[in-house]
Amino acid sequence: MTLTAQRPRAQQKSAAPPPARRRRRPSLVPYVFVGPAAAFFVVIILVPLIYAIYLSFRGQRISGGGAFGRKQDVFVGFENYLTTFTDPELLASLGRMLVYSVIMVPILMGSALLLALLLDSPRSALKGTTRTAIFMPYAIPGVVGSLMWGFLYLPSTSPMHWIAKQIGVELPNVLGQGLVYGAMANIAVWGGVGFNMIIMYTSLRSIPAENFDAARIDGCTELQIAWHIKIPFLMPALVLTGMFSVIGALQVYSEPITLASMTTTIHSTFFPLMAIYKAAFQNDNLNLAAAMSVVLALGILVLSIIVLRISQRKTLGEGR
Amino acid sequence: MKTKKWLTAVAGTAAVAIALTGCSSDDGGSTGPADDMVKSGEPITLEMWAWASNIEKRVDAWNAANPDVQVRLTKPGGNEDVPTKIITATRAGEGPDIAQAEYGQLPSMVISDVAREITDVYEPYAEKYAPAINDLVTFDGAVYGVPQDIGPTGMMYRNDIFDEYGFDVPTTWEEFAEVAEDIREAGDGDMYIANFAGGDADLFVGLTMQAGANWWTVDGDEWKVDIDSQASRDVLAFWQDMVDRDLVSAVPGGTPEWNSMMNDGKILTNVSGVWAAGVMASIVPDTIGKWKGARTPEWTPGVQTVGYRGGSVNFVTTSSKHPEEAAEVILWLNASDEGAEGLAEISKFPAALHGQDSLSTPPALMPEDEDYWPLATEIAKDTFPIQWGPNPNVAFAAFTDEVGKALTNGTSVVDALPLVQKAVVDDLKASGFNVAE
Repeated sequence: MTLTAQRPRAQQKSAAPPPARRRRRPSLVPYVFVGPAAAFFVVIILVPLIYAIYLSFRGQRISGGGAFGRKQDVFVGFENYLTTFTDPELLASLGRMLVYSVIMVPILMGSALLLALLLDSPRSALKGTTRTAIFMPYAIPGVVGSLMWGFLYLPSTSPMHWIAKQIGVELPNVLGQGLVYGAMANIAVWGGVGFNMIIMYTSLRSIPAENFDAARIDGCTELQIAWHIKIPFLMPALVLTGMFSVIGALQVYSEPITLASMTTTIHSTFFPLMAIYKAAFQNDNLNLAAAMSVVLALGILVLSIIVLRISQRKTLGEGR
Repeated sequence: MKTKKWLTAVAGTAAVAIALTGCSSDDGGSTGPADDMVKSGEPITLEMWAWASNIEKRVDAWNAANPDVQVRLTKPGGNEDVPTKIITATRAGEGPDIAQAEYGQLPSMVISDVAREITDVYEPYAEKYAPAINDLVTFDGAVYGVPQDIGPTGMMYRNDIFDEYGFDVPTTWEEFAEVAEDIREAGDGDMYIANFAGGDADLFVGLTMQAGANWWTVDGDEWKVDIDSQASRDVLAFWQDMVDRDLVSAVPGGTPEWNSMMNDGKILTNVSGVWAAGVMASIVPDTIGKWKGARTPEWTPGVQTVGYRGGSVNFVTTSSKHPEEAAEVILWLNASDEGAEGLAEISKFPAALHGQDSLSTPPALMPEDEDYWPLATEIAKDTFPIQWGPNPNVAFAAFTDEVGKALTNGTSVVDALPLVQKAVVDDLKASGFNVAE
């Protein structure tokens, strides 16, 4: 289907320069090549997606009446979607997710870019060690990282709070209302900055050196080189990592679910994914969870396409 | 190129949906007993899902004595998600033969057609239990589970600190509030009588029931939900007042913060199921031997009513291929005298009366307190029959969320009750139950 649609265009491109070079009967080869990807797409993505959509139109309903009637799987139409769209708590959780994204993504991208540029600057020392050190948190599972940070946040277990108390300063509880977004964003940035930094740094290393030589001859400072040469070159990498970061922020789950057991600030439907988990695995309503998932997936899809379209037009131009 | 990018986006987002809709029924990945189709006389293996600590010792004892009916135990992790796991797996035909559920979770197992009726085989064993306990596993006159342990609430207190400062052990909630004031004024002023763990829905349901609340009742074909009742409001108002006057701490229970406060002697009592004396030892190792047990404070002096916190049953699933053998196993494990004694040995507070009488070794938290188990047995006599509804999971989650929000926002926790009531009623109606207004 969609996959095969790209084939003719790709062929046209490669076949364009030598006109009508060989016009053979259609070969099976392209289909064989695209086969693994198509099979993967169908089995791993399409089938479960269709099953999820199927589930979202069904529900467990009591039949036979009575206080102890038995639940049966029935078709319920758009009931689950209606519940999804009329649940004020789900809407509120979407709002919280956006607040979190607006805080987390710029900090993550900004610090990754800054670190990459600093590491790339000719005067920095201990590059290898620093790079590894910044990348290391990425290798730590999110739950473990969140637990560790949770212990650092909790006033009674945190060494920071202990030290502050010794010198007579009362630190605020970062797991309280307001600061909790920062507390979660901090964990995500700590875990993700190394990964994004490596992508940007690798991309920086591939910029041909003559650009810098030319700029220096023209009298550019390192700062100007970074601004006028490195960042424009980095744009594809920035779009890629930015995209990952946005999707990551919209899927925020492991940090809040881990911290939730440590504070009353994060309740069980704080973010959309938590609400979906609760519906499916605590309230035994897989069907509602499926409807919520479909809605959320569509939302992220639309958002991703918008982000991609805008950034493609701005940075990659039509020629690439 | 554009198509490809678009596809990447689709792939990425679709992956979310898959991750979310993935079925959890393949836990353990083991083949069920359904596969070993039995020829008569050949040994069978029963699959059992249970989270109770040390239960493997009892299963081993069964296996050693019954080579023909072997039980394979799987511990399905924390018990919050387990009910859904069992329901989903059984619907998919991949469930265990035997499962464990809390009393509150059993009605949903019946309604989801997961628990199998065992009325006939249970009947000879009914006399092993107090009538109120039999009621907990009986729905519409049919029995669906074998009670394992029960959790009548009791109060543990720091005997050493109470002695040191001469605090009285409160017997009513009124006295509890008075002693709480004394405790705040004593020492360095950093001690609390108790912690208000608002998130502990399980405990507060028990405490409101102690005050006379009936969250769910059956009225003919209808469910009546009375969560936002005067009794519930009184209990929460009492605790709200304690929080407002800084007479209790208010940190989430079971957190590192709570653990360290308990261990450091900053929280002096803990109201919980009597079984907690066994579990607490590992949480507060520095205070072993410094605790004593007492009755939960009463609302009306002289009127002793005891709510439940925790306790669970074993049941046979509807997907079991060997229901008779499975029922035999859980009756032996929990109801037989031998089984009940065994439960006492692994520090459970057995539901079977014989088991309660055989509790001899004091719990790990108070290894010298010979009076603890006899007191617990006395307390258990004052429990009363309660009715659990089809959706305590919804009620508990809503309670934890709404009380947590109230604590965070500084509003009254009493306001949580109508919201919990609404969540429970809405869920019942959405499932197709008749709900009395």
